Amino acid sequence: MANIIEITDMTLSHGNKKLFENFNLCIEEGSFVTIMGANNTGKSSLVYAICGLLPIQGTIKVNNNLVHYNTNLTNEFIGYVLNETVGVYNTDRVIDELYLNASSKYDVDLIINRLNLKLIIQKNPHHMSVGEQQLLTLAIELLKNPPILIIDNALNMLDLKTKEKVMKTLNLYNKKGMTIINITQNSEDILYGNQVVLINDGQVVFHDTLKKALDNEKTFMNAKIGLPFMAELSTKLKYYGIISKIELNKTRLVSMIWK
Amino acid sequence: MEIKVQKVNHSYSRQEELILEDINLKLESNKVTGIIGNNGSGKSTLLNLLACNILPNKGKVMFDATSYSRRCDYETIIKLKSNIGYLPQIIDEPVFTGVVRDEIIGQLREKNINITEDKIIDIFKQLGIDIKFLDEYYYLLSDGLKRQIMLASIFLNDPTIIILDEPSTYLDNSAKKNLINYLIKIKKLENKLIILASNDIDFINRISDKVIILKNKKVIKFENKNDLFKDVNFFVDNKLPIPQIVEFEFLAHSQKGVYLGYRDDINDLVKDILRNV
Repeated sequence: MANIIEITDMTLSHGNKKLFENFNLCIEEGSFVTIMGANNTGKSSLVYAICGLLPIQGTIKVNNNLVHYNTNLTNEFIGYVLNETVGVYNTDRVIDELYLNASSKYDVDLIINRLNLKLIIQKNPHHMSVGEQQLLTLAIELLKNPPILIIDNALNMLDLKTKEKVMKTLNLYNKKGMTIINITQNSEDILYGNQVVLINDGQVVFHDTLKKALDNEKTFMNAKIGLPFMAELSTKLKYYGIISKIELNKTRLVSMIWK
Repeated sequence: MEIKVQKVNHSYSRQEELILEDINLKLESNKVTGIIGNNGSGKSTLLNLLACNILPNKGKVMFDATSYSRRCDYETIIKLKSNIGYLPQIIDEPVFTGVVRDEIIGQLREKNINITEDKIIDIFKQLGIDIKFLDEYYYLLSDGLKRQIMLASIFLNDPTIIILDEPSTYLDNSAKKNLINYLIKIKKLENKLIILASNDIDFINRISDKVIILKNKKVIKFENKNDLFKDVNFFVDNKLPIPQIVEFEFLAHSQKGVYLGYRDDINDLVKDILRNV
C-alpha cells in the first residue's frame, strides 16, 4: 500500500530542545495507527510539523505533496481533532453546527446515528461537558470525510460507552479507506487500531501490527508505556506457565485458566 | 473537615435544563471519594461547586460550620478557596512566560506561602517529574508535564481540601502510578479531604475509598468502593463501566465458581489466580 504520510530524516527542535533527529516514519494509506509515547516525547510537536506549523529539517510528504512551513496547502487532506479545536464552535446549537459542516441532511442524520448524538443535538455546544465537546468536534471532522484523520489526545474525556461507539465508528470509516492516526496515553486504545507506533527518545522504537505489539511487553516497558489490561494480565500468566498465549477476551481467559 | 452538600441545584441559566438536581452528600477527610458518571452527568459541575468556583442556583454547601451559597459574601468565598486545591479538567493557559521554578515560587508567594526549593524538589521526586524541568520554560512543556506540574503546585499549597477533575488523563503510565502512590500516602497522613472525578474506571477503583455515581442529574449511588463494585449487575443495568479487574473476578466466580478476592491492583489479582489454579 502507498504511504499517505512520509516523514524522512526529520530534525525538529522545540525552543532549544532537540525533539527529533533524523526521524523517519511512514504511515500506510488506509491504516489505523495508534501512536503512543511517554510524556514529553514530542508527539504533539510531530502533529504540528505535519500541519506545517513548525519548521523542520528533512521532509514531510502528505498524499505525495510536500509540506511547507507556514502554508496549509496539505491540510485539505487532513482532519484534525486536537485539544485546541475542541470547544471552538460557530453556532449555539449542536444540530446547527452539524448542518454547517455537512453537504446534506442525509449526512447529518447518518452521523447522528453513527455517534449516538440524539441526546445532545439541541444543546448549546458551549455549555456542554468537555467529553460531549470532543464528541461533537469528531463528528464535525467525520462530516468533512477527510482522507486522513489525526486525533491528538482528544478522545480522552469520553465515557467508556461513548468511547466504544466512537472507536467502532472510526473502524467503519477506516474500512471505507480513511487513514486514521490516534495519538493517545490510554493503552486500551491500541486494541481498536491495526498498527502501533511507539516513540521514545526522539525515535520510533516500535512500528508493527497490533498482534506483534501485544507480544512485545519488553519494548512497551522500555518506552515506559503500559500494555492494555488483558494483554498485561495474559503476559504475567504466560510467565508463570498458566497459559500459553495472549488472550484479550475475559470469558475465554477464564475458560483457559480453569478448564 | 466535613463537607455537606444540601439540596443543591444547578444549571447554566434559568432558561436551560438543570445539570444537577437536589444533590445531598456528606464528604469526610482521610478518604478519597471518586465521582463517576457518563459524559454530561455533571461531574465537573459538582467539582466546581465544591471548589467554590461557581455558586449553586439553589441549596448550599457547608464546609464544617461555614455556609457556601448564593448568599455568601466575598470574604467568606476567598477564605474558603484559600483552603482548597483545585485541578481543572482542561489545561487552561494562563500566560506563564517564565521557567517552571519561578512560576511555582511566584504563584505560592502570591498566596503568602514561602516555599523552599527543597520542598519543590521533594514533591517533584514523589510525582516522578524530572528536576531538570525546573529550569525549562513552562509554555514549552507537553500537556502531560503541565498537568504534573499543576498537581505539584496544588500539593505544595498544602490545602485541606483537594479537588481533582480527571487527574489521570494526559498522564503517562509512570506518572499515573506516582500520582496514585502519592494520593494514597497523603490521604492517610495528612487529614486531607480528597475528591476526584474520572472516566478512568480502573483508576477510580485503584484509588477511591468511596464512590459517587451521577446519572440523570442525581446521585444514584454513594457507597464504599468495595461494596459498590460487588454489585456488578447494577453497573450492567445502568450501562456504566466496571473496572476490568472486577469484571474478571466476577466472571471467574460466575462461570467457574472460583472466588478471587476483590482487588484493585493487577499484581494482587495474579497472586490470587496462582493460589487458585
